[in-house]
Amino acid sequence: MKNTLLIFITLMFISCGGGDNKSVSKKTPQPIRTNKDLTTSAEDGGYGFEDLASGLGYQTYKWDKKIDKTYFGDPKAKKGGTLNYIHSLFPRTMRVIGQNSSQVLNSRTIEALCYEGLLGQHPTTLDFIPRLASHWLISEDKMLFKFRINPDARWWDGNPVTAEDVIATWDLRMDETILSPSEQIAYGKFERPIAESQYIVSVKAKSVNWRNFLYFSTMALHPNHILKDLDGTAFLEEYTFSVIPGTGPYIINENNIKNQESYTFDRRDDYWDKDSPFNRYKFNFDRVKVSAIKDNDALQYEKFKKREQDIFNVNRSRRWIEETDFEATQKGWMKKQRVFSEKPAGTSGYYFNMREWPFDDKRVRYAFCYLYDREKMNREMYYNEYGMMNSLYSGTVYENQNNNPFKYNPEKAIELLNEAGYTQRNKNGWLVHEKTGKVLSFEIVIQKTSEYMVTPVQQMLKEYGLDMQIKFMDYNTMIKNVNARKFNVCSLAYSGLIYPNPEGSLRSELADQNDNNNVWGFKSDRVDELLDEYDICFDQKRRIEIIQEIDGLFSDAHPIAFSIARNYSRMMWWDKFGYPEWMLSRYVGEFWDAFYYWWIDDAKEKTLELAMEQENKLPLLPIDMKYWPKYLLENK
Amino acid sequence: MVEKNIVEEKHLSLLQKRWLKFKTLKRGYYALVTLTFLYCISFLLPILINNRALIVSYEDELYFPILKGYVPGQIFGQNVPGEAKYRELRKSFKQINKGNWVFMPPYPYSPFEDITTEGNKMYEPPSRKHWLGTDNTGRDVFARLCYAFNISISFALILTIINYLFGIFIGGSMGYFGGKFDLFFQRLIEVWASLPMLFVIIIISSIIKPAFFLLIGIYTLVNWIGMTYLIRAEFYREKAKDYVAAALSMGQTDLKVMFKHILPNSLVPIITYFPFSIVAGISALVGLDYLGFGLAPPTPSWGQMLDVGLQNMSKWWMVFSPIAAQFLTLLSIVFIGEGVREAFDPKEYSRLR
Amino acid sequence: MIPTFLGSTVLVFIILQMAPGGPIEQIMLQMQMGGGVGTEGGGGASSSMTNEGMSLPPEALKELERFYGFDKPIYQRYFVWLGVMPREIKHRDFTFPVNETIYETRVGKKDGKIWKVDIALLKDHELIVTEKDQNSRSLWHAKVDGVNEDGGLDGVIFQKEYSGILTGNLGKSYTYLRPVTEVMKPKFKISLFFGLTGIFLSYLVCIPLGIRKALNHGSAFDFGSSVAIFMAYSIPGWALGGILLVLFGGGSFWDFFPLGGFRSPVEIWEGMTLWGKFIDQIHHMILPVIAWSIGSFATMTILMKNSLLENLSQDYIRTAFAKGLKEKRVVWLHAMRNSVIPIASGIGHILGVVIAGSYFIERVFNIDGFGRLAYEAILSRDYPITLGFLVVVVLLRLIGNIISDLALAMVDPRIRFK
Repeated sequence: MKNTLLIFITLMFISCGGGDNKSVSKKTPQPIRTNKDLTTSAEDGGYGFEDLASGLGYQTYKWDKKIDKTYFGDPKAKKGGTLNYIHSLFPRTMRVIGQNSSQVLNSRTIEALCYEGLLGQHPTTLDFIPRLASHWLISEDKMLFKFRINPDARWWDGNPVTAEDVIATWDLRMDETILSPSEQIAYGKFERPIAESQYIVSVKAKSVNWRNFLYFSTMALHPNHILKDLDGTAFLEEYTFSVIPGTGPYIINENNIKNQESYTFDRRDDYWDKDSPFNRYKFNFDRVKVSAIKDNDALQYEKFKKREQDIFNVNRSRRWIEETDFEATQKGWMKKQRVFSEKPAGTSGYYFNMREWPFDDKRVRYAFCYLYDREKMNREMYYNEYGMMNSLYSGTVYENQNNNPFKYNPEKAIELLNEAGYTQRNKNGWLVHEKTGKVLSFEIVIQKTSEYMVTPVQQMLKEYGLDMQIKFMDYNTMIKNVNARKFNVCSLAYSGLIYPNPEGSLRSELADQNDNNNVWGFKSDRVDELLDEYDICFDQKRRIEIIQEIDGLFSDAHPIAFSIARNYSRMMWWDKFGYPEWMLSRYVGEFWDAFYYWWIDDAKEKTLELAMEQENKLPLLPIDMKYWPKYLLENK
Repeated sequence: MVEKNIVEEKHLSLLQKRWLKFKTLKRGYYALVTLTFLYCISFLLPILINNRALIVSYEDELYFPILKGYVPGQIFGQNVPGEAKYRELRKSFKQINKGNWVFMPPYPYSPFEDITTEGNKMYEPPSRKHWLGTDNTGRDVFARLCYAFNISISFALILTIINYLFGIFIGGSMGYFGGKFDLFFQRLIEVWASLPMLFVIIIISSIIKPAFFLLIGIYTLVNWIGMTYLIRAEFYREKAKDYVAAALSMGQTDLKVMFKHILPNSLVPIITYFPFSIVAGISALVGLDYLGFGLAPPTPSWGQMLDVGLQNMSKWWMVFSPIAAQFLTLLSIVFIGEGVREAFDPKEYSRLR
Repeated sequence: MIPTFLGSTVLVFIILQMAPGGPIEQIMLQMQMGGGVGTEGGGGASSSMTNEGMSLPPEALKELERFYGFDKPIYQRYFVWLGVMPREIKHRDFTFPVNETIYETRVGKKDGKIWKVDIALLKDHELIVTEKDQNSRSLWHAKVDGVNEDGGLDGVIFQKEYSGILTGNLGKSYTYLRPVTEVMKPKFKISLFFGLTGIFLSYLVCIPLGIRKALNHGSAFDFGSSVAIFMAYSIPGWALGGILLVLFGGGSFWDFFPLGGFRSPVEIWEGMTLWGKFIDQIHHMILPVIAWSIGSFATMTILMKNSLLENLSQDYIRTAFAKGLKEKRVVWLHAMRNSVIPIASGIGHILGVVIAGSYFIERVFNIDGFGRLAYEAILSRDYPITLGFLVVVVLLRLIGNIISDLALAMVDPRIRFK
């Protein structure tokens, strides 16, 4: 019998081996170092433009040791080594433009490591900094933008970056056959860019909006010499699981893309901008490997513990408190910290449908919030790990500090409910409306994974006679129902933006339409006015005032029972990395920053190996890392 | 007419014989007794395991919250906005000692109360207070386990019975009439079986909230096929036998032949299959709950408990409890099944010499 | 088989259209980017700078509907999927200028050059497309969509192709943007490998165990093994898999086995010797195969046991004993051959189950198999994959039936193929 088994397995094994994993390796074109272009005159953006720039009205940003400190990477950084990271998804495509490409994973890894825009943003001050373009110009009326592309900029294959690349990228993004309508909305706000010379490109916006410059200048570029032979459909097909050349510091070789399994970045030694002060100490790992383990958080964590992954981001407080205490963390081989930053926390909580009974009544919404004892949940279930959220823009400068925090207050809630007409309780203990006789019963749609967060709320409401029925739905069905406004309450989270953009979620005219982000049905004339002003306001201070006022108005209507907020990242990593003193950048504030700013510290790695061999203890880190909160205090 | 009576009498006595034989098979018999007993008891759970008092005597007046339902705490002079908190009431009555008393169920925790209720903590290990500890939202695991037992068995029982009805009618007709009728239904069943049930469930659950009977309905959609095939085969075989021809020749209608003559004769496989069908039903509910298409939360269910348990593997009581409960139930049903089969089989198994 | 195939595909086709949240709705969602799921502490992960909260303009919606073929009535879509009606691809909008009869447009690239065609307007809004500078009819077709405000004609130009199941083309996956067959092939192999090993293992355990239990019916061994297999039966395989991984995966306790995966990562795998690959494969397979087959142990063992018991009580066994044959010979030759009939007839059916795989086990062990593909396709509404999966399952059922018949013929002396 045993022999048969062996033969059997061998047969199967041979029949399966090979074949499926043979990756068709296209030859990566060998970099051709094109010589410096000395033919283009300084006026046209060639060498020597720097001296003319300010006379022509161009501006730029110069690196300054005092202000910029280590914000562009630490001078102690060493190049080398591999960073292993495991994500819960494999990208749906390797493109960063077109269908299915608007995922966090794509923008944080592929876009950030392989592609560049004309300008970048200062990680701490958010000022514009040179990237592919060294200088830029904004016209008086804020409608016309000019960029001078750095004549040194090169694609992977050695071709120089020119104005034509900007135009080709814009054309591609405006091609409707890439099946990504949002691109056409964003870049349709501009006329087609014009190549003023080989290195100078200008673009005109169709209307005044302070966001226009941001959108256009940070747009990731693709090479014209490849795009010129492709239309939208062909681009989608050809580059779904292969990578179009970029200008960035990393390259993905075709045979390093193992579909649905992993993809690996290799650092380029010939990155055109590797010596600039903005990039010199960034991008330190020789290889960055991103593997996928779909939908199985537990296995991901086990792999981290087995050192098959170097950094780990802890999402749930339960894991952080209950499951991070073992030999490696106790002995300091594995470090864990909560890193505070100014990453926008986003907006999460229970979203009410204000179009329908019972939440068309403000008093019922208020009562819900007074009964929803999030502090108790934080205490009893979340180990006091979180803060409370009271604003659409929690934890940012845009938060209106006068918002009602809606602390647990059952007396107030009962009062409000009585006012609203819910005075009696029926035999089962549910509140009944005194006139209509309607039982105060509504439905909440959630995904199964959030069950444990919702059942306690259900019990809290039950005590006071509100009947909240829980209904599970899969993600797509749930969103479909929410977008068709077929819900009473739902549990959602909007991600936070560095520059708030309330247009899509607070406009009154969107309230009566389906399929947009005004899921609550929020209407306010004053907010509409403010939104009109916001778009054309170039003064950041005034913009903050506007958003704060909007936030106040929103909080007064209270279409969301805000839940808890977290303004830190819970990170764990094997103790072999060096990192800047601020660890994660001010506004990204997540483990992604390790990809860009961290490096392998050989000494630490040796100490770690030795310690693990001899079971020695290494020093532990304090649990909280608060560089940015301190920075904020000092710079106020 | 006379003949018919005899048949019935014989039939009855046959059943009795089988029952007597079943009783001698200790393992199956005891499993049946225990399971039936537990299942009956489980209908009394609200008075055995609950946080609502059975009787409250307050200022010389008797209250029966368990029957009445919602009783505001203020009635008993308790300062709470909603329903009375009987465990605390009992404590305070004892302290004040004015002759007021509360009679609580023997296990005074409900399967729903979580950290919201003062004093409940999550992840409490088993203790005298919480026999099997508490889960990730502070609910009592033992209470949930017991309530889930009742729901699981009821689900499986009803599901099986409905499947049998479907099977007997459709499968019986298919086997009896044969020919084109049979062929048509066979194709229909094949098409039906290829339906991606997950989609059907997603569609249905996006429209209506999954409730107990809805789930039974959905599951019947999938499950009736197997039973139908079984009964079809049985009827097909029986139909060829002489007694059917005899009955038909005496002018009996098709319906009568099917249900009076053939059905009793094909009972053996049908009954033998019953316990396994129950087991399948229980597992089905566990699977549905695990996928999140089961009963609406916070309904206690083994599938949900197992799911939560596996996410908290370091809390052994949360993993162990649902697995053990399911194991014991399945095992006793299997024992019953073995016993039934042996009792119904006319042949003695020859133990080898 | 053909009516079954048509029937089930039609039914599934209709049901797919009813399921909420199809591909277009998902694109709408991506645009809104509002859909973070409520996570414990605050919002989703992205803090992207652009494009929050836009809604889909009607032209874009039309574009998408055309791309997915949703602008056609459902019966047409079905025929297109079958391959008896042409599929329209590579749509491109154009506007016919007022008072013109010929319009030149760029339709893409061909042989590295820009591909241009002429569209001629005939009467009754009929359009004819010819290749630029050649008078030949083009691959392209055009039709009028409507008249715009200025009196010009809005038209759309597209290619037609017959690509359906009858031409061996299952369409293109919405998620992977690649042909369905290409996506399914590697996963199919993995699941097949996996499932067959699992089946083989369970047969290897269950048949001898079932025999032993039948021969010792009622003994302590029988009882004990019953308890053991039902204990295994009541722990779902995926749950056991999860527990085993934590215990033996090396992350937390003992390091005996790799943490999931079908085999070592490709870069390591390709550097191994044949023997090394063999060992590596087995090393990776042990835990998942245990988890996979643990559930089938109970049913299969009991089936074997009952079937053997049944046969042992038959008259022919008595006769055999009466003839004075040895016990071994009677059991192994006479009873056994008849007892494996029910198991043999199940083989074909099992094949279907194997291929469908087990989503849960594949998820727990991070194996990219067929079950997971189908489950994800259903949840992400990837219709071409879902339908492709169905086609495979129906075909396998056919093959399974044939295998069952063959197996039956091998063990049942009464059946002979002529």
